[in-house]
Amino acid sequence: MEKTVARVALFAALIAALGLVPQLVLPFAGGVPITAQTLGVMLAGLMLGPWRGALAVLVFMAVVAMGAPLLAGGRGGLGVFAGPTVGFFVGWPFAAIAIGLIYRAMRARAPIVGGIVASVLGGIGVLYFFGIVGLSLVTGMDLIAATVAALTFVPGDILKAVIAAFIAREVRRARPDLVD
Amino acid sequence: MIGLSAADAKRPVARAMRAVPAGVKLLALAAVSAGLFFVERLDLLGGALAIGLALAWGTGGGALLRALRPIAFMLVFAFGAHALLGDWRLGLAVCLRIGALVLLASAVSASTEVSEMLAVLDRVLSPLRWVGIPTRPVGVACMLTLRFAPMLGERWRGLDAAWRARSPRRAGWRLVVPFVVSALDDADGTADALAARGAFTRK
Repeated sequence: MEKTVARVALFAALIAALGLVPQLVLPFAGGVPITAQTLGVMLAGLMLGPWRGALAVLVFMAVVAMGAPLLAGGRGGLGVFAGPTVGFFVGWPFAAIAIGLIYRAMRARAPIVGGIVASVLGGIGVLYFFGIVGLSLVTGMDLIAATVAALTFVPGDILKAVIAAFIAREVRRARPDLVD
Repeated sequence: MIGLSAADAKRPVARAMRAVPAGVKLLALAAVSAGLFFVERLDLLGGALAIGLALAWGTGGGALLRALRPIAFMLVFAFGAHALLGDWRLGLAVCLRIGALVLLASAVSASTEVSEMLAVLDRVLSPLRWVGIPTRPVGVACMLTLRFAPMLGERWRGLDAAWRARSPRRAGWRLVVPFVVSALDDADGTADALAARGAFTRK
């Protein structure tokens, strides 16, 4: 129990740190500044498994909602839930669940392949579904316009999926007791 | 917001907002957020935005800027999309509504301590306790996250300093894996410390 709580909190903090540490903020993709925070969501799903990974994301979201300025760019507080990107935020725990489940299902494959496929399907497929629907609901744009707006983030997210798969493989190699 | 400066406390709006119980503020915010989604009239939405601006400004100008800057791109895009499709009034309504909601929410956040929010979260979760699910780990995980976040920053700077003391090259990505592994070990150490103090044993 204590171990689960501590690791969940650690990955929640890791998502926060990825928004703060300037070395890990990726440069520009399609003219839109992107941050490494979804990398943390991918890592949580890959390393903690679907359910504890989702818990880590939920704890991070709770801390942000309570006002800690831990989203990239020092954002935080309840305003996040009223903004146009709320769908991406709400989609995070679902993305973590999808990533963890897909990674488990692909256990027979090479970990780097499973990691990339899981991160792309969960961190882009599932996440963008929530993000685009949310963007469309909040701004009243139709789904096509919302998709165009969201697609600018895809190149950076593919890069993050590859990085996440690599980190997860190396960390699992260093700490084999990190079971799901 | 975590760091409340002394200057904030001197503002009358900030003091009044802070005096309202956190649960009341959150309920009011939820009601207003739900209500505004059914409002289409520009004058009402403009009024809501003005109130949001006043409250956010009153609770601290920094919070105002932080709240609006990151959403500006999406607001401009949404307004442009609506204007191109022929209904700029709808676009304006959308932008006013989002702006008002974000500002009101920021004002609530800026005037409520994290500890008060945690107390509200604990109350919201309390029905789980009646059916026998422990909720204490939720609060502990939230506090641990707030402690771990700056600790991770220190850990990264420590690894970076150790690297630079030994190599003329930049470390960059080479530190990522040791960083995550050492952070995991820290978490396990924290878990042992929690267990040793009987963190989740029933009293």
